[in-house]
Amino acid sequence: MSIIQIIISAIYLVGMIGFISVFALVAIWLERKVSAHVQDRLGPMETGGWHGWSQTIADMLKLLLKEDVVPDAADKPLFKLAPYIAFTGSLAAFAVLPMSANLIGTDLNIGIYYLIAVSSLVTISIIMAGWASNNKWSLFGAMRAASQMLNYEIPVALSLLVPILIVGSLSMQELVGAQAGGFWNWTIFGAHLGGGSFLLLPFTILAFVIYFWSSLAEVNRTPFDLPEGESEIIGFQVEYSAMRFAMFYLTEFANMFLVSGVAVALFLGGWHAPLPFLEISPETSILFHNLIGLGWFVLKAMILVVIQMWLRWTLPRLRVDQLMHICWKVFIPFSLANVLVVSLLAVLQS
Amino acid sequence: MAGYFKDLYLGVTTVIAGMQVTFRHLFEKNITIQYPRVVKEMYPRARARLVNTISECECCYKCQRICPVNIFTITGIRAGKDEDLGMLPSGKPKQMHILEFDIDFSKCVYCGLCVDVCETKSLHWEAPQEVCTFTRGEMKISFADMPEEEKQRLLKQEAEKKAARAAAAAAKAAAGGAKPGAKPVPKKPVVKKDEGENAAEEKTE
Ligand code: SF4
Ligand code: SF4
Repeated sequence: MSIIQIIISAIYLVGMIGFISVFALVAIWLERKVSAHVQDRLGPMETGGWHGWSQTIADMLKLLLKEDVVPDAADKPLFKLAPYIAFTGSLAAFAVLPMSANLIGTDLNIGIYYLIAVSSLVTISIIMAGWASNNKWSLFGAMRAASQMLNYEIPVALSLLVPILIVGSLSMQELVGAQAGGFWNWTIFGAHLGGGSFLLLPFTILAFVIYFWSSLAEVNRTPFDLPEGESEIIGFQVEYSAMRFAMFYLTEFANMFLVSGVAVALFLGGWHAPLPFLEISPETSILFHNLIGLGWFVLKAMILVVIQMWLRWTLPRLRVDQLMHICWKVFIPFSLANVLVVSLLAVLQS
Repeated sequence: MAGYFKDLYLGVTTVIAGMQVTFRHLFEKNITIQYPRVVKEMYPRARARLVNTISECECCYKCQRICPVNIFTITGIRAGKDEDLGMLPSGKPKQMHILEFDIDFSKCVYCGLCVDVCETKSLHWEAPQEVCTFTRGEMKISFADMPEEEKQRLLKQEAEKKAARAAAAAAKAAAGGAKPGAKPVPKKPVVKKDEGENAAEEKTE
């Protein structure tokens, strides 16, 4: 690896951290607005003038300046390390997220596999945080998080197998590339198996729905926010304050973008525009090709993020047994059957 | 098995129904009132703050006597026959100088008895938007508008009158063969006692 490559990677890394921070600031503000309007309120209106746009910036400054309290009985090294591991896990997954044609950390040939593996690191950090806090409620939250996230890895992986089977590759860029040329080529509409377009439609939509719902559980969002359970156990971050708490918060929103980004890349055409003429071809201008691609990617991901918020403020929290019921008795059988049917069709096709 | 699929169907349809409800609310009119900029009208009958129109008060002490928490401090002096203090709304002439009409509003329990009992309707509720104050002291409201010199003059006059009356009574007692023990007790104004009580309360608090 040459020195130039290292420098480029470092710049990309810093850029990605910046992007995640800015996204988190916007998304937290948006979440407050969505929650407020769903409940016929207004949300933040004062800070910064126009609809309180700088409220989250003020909150971030507040969190930076607050005292960082570490409980006396906590396991201090683990307690201090946990939020950074959580953020590292989600940042590492961003390395293979194809933001545009050339804007990708590294296009591994096992990109999606790497992503599923490395994003599980968040589970470990949550258990670390819950255990090291030496607090019952933290531990409850951590146990719930562990069981929930490990269980929901299965339907996530199984439903992601469907586009992989259709395209026949594990590389993110190839998965996206196969969906070029208009929205009718997107995986969610069951394209890429020649004449089998309409035949695959129900299966790909089912895979997308299962992925989207399981990913909600992966990122601990309502209706699967048992590990946090703000109104009952508060969850694994109950002992955290200031910067470390902000780190967990940042990770949560980074993960929201991550799972939406994966859904966009695998099902919704990635950085390709819904209609071919809305794109600029790389021959005209490589820069604008990338910029427009990035715009489409972020736009699609943001729409999914807003749907996540919309769901959060619609549904109540599930009980633990209901959570397991949905995972083991609904999502897993359906996604297994789904994978079987799609692979059968893929074999028949070829 | 049928139950399983029925549950699934119910799950999907109710989630969709719920999302429709929340989507409608996204665009519904907000109920938030942005307080310092938009001030809501108070209800006309709200018990927010007691106000006494001092020119209409006949200083009958009824409000003071009925108040369960004893927050009125009233000092009135009967005017002489030749003094003209104007008219009350009822058409009767005003007979009392009001030297002092203070309420410690922080102790009020908002029962409204004093307003009910006031015959001239000079004591009434008002509903301003902002009744909060920064200190308890600011909640002590004074309604009497008599200037200090005038107050002193009236008090002196009253004391002189009292002395004169006491002297007259003493002379009368001396002339009338002295009933032993029947000392001329000048009638204490109720107010003085009341003030004492208030002061004691303050100390114990
Ligand atoms: S009851 Fe009314 S008139 Fe009588 S002293 Fe009180 S405020 Fe004045
Ligand atoms: S409302 Fe009740 S408590 Fe308040 S001043 Fe009148 S009588 Fe006293």
